[in-house]
Amino acid sequence: MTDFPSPETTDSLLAGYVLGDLSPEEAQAVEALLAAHPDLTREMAILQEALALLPYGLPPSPPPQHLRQQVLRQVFPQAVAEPQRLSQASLAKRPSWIPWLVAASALLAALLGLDNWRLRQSLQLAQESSSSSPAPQDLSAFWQRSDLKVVALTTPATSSPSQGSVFFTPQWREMVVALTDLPPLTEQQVYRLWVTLDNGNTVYCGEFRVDEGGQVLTLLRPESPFPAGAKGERVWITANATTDSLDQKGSPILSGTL
Amino acid sequence: MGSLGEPESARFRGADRVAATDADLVAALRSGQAAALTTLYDRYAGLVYSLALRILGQPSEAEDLTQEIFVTFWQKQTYNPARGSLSSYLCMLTRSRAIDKLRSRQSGQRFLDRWQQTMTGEWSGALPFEQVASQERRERVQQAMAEIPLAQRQILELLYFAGLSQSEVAQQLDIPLGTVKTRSRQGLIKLRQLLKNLVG
Repeated sequence: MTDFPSPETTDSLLAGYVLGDLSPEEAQAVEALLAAHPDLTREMAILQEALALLPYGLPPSPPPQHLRQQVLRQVFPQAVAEPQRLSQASLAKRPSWIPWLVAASALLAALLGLDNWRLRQSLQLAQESSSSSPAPQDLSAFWQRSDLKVVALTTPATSSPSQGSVFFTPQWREMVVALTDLPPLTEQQVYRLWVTLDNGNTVYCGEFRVDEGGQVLTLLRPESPFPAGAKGERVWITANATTDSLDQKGSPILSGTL
Repeated sequence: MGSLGEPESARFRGADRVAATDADLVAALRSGQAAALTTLYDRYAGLVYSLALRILGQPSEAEDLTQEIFVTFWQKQTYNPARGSLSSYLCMLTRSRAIDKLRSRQSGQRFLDRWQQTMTGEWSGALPFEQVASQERRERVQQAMAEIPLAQRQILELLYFAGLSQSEVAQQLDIPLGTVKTRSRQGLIKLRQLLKNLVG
């Protein structure tokens, strides 16, 4: 078995290996060491991880928001389509959309930390906070639809992590709100979802609350149908006092453009 | 209505509740759940973009590379979780491609000029909102880098971010090659010790 050099020498050799600066003799010594002491592989991996953490020390530069959509569009062209394509194309004709959506819903639920119990709680919360009363089977039926569309919501505030998606049916009769990292509200507050149409009007679609982690997965049904022929152009979320009238919309804390 | 009044720290805790680990997301991605990439993007795009921007210096090029990294990650799925963390892999991939692009477009001297212009020498700054895990990593790495002697830190930065060889660093700093090796190794060992809670 290869003799173990001093800890300092071993550390230096392993660091040199990770940095790629070993002389041929040193490289040979490291290979012999690793062969004789496989546990050193772990130490080397740790050094590699430490080196790879260096970028975390950089002054952070957030990527532009449009880049996210650009990447997703390239990866899932059928799911994150151009607005025109979404409104013109029937997603029902795109079978590949369905597994993506089902996967997305399952994953969203997982990401939101919603096991079955949590999911029931979330739905119960929706029942309490919305005039519509979505039951679990409603949500399940929603995901079975083949004509769903989706819009990603982001926040205008760079300091906020809030984000998520709103899935909706044609004519916006039903929509599922899946959001994370919204600021928790007091009992006297609710979140409201609005859709601004291409005719300039804004439609109130419902309200909801989030759990203590700022997450929600719920189904909304607007009380009033959207005007025939009108297209949704922008989906946005506001935080309101429960006593606010629907004319007191406030500023969007999350929004997405179709 | 009044302000939501949520302190930043509380918002970070909210983000921490996102349950899926990187391993979960990678597994989901490989089982065909493409939506997992969305969360991985949200988790690491800031890191990838910051690194790309530091090396390339041009926002448009950093954007292109960030897109390339995530699309490649999705299409090729060459990441092996057994070989290290996802963040480490993405940084390695980003660094490698960024340095390739840089070398293909400019000479080493021009590169060093640009590098020296962009070097701040400081490891602090306004922190963006990211997941709490990333936030803590940033703070710890920034603190660790601040504790590493400047001579060692400078060489680590030149090697890692500028992609210079040890000989090029020795030449640029006008110090012996042996000194570059010693200092870079000492710097890395020190970094590993300072970050032991993060890397094991």
